[in-house]
Amino acid sequence: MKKNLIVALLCLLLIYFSGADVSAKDATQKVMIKVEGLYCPFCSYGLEKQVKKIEGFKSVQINIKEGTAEIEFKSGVEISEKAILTAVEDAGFDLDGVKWLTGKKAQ
Amino acid sequence: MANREKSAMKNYFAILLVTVVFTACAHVPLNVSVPPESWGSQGAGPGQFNEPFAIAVDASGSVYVADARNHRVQKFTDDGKFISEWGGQGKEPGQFERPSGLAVDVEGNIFVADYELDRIQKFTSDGKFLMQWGSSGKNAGQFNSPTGLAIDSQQNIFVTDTYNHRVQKFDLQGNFIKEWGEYQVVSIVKSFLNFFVGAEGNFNYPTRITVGLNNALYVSDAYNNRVQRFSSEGDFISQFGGLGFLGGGFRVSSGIASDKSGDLYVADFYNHRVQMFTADGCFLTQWGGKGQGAGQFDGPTDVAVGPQGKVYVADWGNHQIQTFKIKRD
Repeated sequence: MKKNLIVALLCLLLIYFSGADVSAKDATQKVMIKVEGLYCPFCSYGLEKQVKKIEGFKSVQINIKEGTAEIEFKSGVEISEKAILTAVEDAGFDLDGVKWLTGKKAQ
Repeated sequence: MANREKSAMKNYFAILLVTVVFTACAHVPLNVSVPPESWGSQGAGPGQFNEPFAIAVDASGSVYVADARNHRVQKFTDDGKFISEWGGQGKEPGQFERPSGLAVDVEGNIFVADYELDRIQKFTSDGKFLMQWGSSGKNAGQFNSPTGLAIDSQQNIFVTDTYNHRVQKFDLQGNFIKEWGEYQVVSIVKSFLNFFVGAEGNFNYPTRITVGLNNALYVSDAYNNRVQRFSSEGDFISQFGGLGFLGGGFRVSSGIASDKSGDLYVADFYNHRVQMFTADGCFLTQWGGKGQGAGQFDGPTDVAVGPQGKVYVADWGNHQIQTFKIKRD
């Protein structure tokens, strides 16, 4: 009886932690940046090109009408705002604002 | 002293007025067909586009479109019937990350610039890979986001190296010949006043390039809102444009093409229109306006002229190609 209880407890713990692991893998870090001068594809493609070079990059959606870019990074990779700033500046723009939408930095 | 300054100002404005009057261009009656023909919608299927960014027409009238976000080139008949496609996302020869510029040589081979991979690839007219050159960098023969391609009658190929703010000249085997231009911003006020003194031959994100009469080169200097004309050797000849909403002005000059008579068609990205000029830069006519209707645009990024004079426009934001016929009365 005691043995069965211990096995059940271990199973529960295993399920709990494996579940936590899966959710951590699924979680991504999303950031919305506001960029000054993001007017046309000749330059918005340039921002995409630079952002893709950031370690942990997953995807980017650029809205030139709003002058914003929503960038998604892989979970578990530490993303510094300096890396984002460098990418924006290398693309020839000024960074107007950063807002973390999901991930640790959004909390 | 004050009177002398007032007098000088009066003289200045008189000279300016006389200059404007005597450099004004005669208007030629033109008729642009509306509604135009168009093809394409947003998608990834044959004949669909996801940001058609560049366009070129060969001597037989076949149309090639750089379908930027679908990582491919599509080939059509002159009236938009799908023929074939090639490419696919990747870095291998024959693949693309961001096809961004097109040109056709006298033998019908297609040259494709890749904005992200910083290279030029050469294909047969049915998409068979032939060769490539270029890598990322600032040195001669390297690129930082090439976007515009043009080939002259001497079989030189010119590349607008957008983020390096220069034009590079190669032979058709990709051997570097020369380069010109460097980064120079003309202020909004100066651009609006069409005052470009001291900025001739330099660029603020050159986007497209075309070859006109006598192998003259025309370069869209996008963020200085003008077009510059050069000799085949890169010597500055003249310029036109300036920031503006009215005919003759630009808000980000982009695609540019020349017809057989030397007249120029320039896509004006943020004014959502195409403007027509003489070879000397005299404004002739304009059409377009922002929208999704026939003859309207959402950010035109390139223009090409077919062998019969039909004008093709890459209507980037509407994910379609529109064609227009120009009638001269």
